[in-house]
Amino acid sequence: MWKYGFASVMGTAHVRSSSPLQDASRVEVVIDSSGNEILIAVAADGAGSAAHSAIGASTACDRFIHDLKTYLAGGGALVQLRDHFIQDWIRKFQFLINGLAADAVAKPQDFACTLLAAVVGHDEAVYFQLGDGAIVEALPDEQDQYRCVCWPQQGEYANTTNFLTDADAGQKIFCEMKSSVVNEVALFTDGLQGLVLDYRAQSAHSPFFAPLFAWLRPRGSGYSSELSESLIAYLNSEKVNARTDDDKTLILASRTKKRTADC
Amino acid sequence: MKETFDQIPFPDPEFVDNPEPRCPCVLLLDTSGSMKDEKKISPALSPVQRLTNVSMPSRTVRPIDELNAGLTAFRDELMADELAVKRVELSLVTFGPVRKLTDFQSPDVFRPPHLNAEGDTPMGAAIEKAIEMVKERKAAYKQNGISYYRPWIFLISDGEPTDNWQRAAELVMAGEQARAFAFFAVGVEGADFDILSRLTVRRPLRLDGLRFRDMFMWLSSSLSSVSRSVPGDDVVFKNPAAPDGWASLR
Repeated sequence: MWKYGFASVMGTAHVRSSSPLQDASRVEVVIDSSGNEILIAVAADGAGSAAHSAIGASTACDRFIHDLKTYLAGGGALVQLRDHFIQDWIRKFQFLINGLAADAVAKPQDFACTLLAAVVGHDEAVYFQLGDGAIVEALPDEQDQYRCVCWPQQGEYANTTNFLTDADAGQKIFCEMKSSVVNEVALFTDGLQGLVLDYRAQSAHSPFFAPLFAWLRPRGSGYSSELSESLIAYLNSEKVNARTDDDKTLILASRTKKRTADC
Repeated sequence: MKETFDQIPFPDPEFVDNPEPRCPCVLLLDTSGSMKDEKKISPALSPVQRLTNVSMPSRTVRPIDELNAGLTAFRDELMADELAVKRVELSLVTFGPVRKLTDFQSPDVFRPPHLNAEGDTPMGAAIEKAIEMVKERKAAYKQNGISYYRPWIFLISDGEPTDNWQRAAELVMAGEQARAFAFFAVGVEGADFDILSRLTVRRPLRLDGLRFRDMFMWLSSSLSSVSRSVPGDDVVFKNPAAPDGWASLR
């Protein structure tokens, strides 16, 4: 059973300039035709000065969850997400944004945002990343060790990356599929990446994730409002704000390992 | 000293305890003899004073003193910004002769040295040196897994180059085209603006009345903005040539 918490909070720079929260995040758990749970976790970060990027980010999250559920309900398999889902989805998303942009007399780039998504089934998982921010998963055989599934996509400079609205988004999107059990996963946007990634070792900073997952593991199943509320307080804390003034999102999800007796 | 380290990739200590992305800036300062020539300046008037035609007594100052005072204010301003302290890195090169006074340092480590005016104006060699330093710094960032923003080279001069500056102009042009760095030129009264405008792809700025302090305030806030910019940001700087700015366009 999956248990999870998540939060997107505004960075101090956005508070100062009274611009909106440009990060968005959603998590849902659905049941597939074999009765197994599938975790869908998605986060998006709207581009800094793009006027409607907050709408872009929340639209990306909403559409991703909605369209993925439709795909799964129609009998679509996780293993075919890369070949049969994501490219179509990016085209559909861009089409939708083009329409929104035309209505708002704006450019599609004004809705620019990144995408991070984890879709975790019974014994398989699919990850997507376009732009910065990253995804981390628990290493199966090592206690409290975490692996970076993907590294933030960045141009030469720290303030350049890829967006869903880019013409070449379909080529730039990172996709990883694995057919093994994943029991813990975290997604975070670029506001947090400096804190939770070890840039020297190009790896996840396990001491950050280990205590959080240790806390989450014994909780009841489903959405944890306790974790989500604590996350908001933590992400708003002075300590975190001293390291970043950007919007920041963190999604944490963990599941109890299925014992054979349950089956 | 450096060569013995080159074989083994020892991590640079400054990157170990501070993995923040860096925003490097080279200050290229003209310290040629003319910078100590006394100049009469009228104090900056507020718009109201200008309208009411208030006359304020002018005073005599030396550019080099104003530059020194401005540098100190520059550091203080950056120190007041929690993120800029971790991210902005300053390096100081003076000419003439061309001297690297400080390598890239964060504002808390950076101690503005007292500058003396002497010698000629080897501006071309100074620019080439700055471009080389930026290149080396980027290599150090890469080696240490530190991400970074587009470096700035900020030239301030009150004269005309006494060396061959054409090669420097070509390097600046190529570097700007490749977005390898951004090059800004500020001319103090007496500067050769024709050459400055051929050295930069941006328009050179004319410093009004030795307002070094205001110029450094602007530089500090601009670097702060760059150092906190995120993907998709158009970093917007305050126009230095606005009516309340410190410069005029040439």
